[in-house]
Amino acid sequence: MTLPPNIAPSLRELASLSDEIWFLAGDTSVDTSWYTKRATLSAIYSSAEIFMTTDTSTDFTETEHFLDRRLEEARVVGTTMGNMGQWVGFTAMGFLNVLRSKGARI
Amino acid sequence: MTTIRFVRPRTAFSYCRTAYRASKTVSCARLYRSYEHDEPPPFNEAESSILAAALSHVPSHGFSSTSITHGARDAGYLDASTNLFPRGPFDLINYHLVTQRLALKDRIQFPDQKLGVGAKVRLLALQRLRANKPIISRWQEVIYPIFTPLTSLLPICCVQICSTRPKR
Repeated sequence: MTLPPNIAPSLRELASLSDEIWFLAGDTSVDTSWYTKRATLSAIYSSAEIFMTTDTSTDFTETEHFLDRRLEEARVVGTTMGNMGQWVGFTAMGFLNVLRSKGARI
Repeated sequence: MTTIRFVRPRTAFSYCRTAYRASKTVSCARLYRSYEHDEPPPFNEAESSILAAALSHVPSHGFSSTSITHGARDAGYLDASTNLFPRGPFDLINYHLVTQRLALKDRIQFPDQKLGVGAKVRLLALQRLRANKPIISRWQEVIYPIFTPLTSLLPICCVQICSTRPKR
């Protein structure tokens, strides 16, 4: 799977799997989050798969916990980035309005 | 009352018009998925019977031409039928990936709407991971060699980091 001519089809399959999972889960987003969701899930799934190759627990419970931790991290990072973006937006608008109040033509 | 059907877009990257069209996997003549018209099956009858039989030999022979040869014999085809698969073991890997992805829809259903999207994603990902169970002993050989071509590009410290097993 890792020979150079096989890398692109493998990645395409990974992307298709990520798309399939999101669709079956009921995702109907139509903005850039469509891409970011699939990209993050592709990364999480491939890391879980690699972990699973070394997992020796019964019924792959360790893999399940690993997946839970990665999904939780993705959720936290997503909300953090969203909040940070909102803060940056508000701060920039505030700064702009201060400049306008001083007479700058912007 | 009209119902709005959500047409699933495929990815923004279209591989259809490149050399990968020669691959025998999912026909990508259209860039969307339709509710009304099913997609054609990705493998024809001979390929699917040989590769399905070959998957049962993977635990003993790995993802190799040997498994495909045994699978061809089990399915009742000649040993020379391995010429159907120019990409060799990768066709077997691809068959496993494609069939497991398409089986997700049938294996897991959500009759009640109480679960959130995140919980459903988790269940679907777990289901897909569990589907690797029969061949997981051989999956390491398929994935880990990706680090070998990179040793010539990455500095030694990165190789050390990459070669340790994930701890969590």
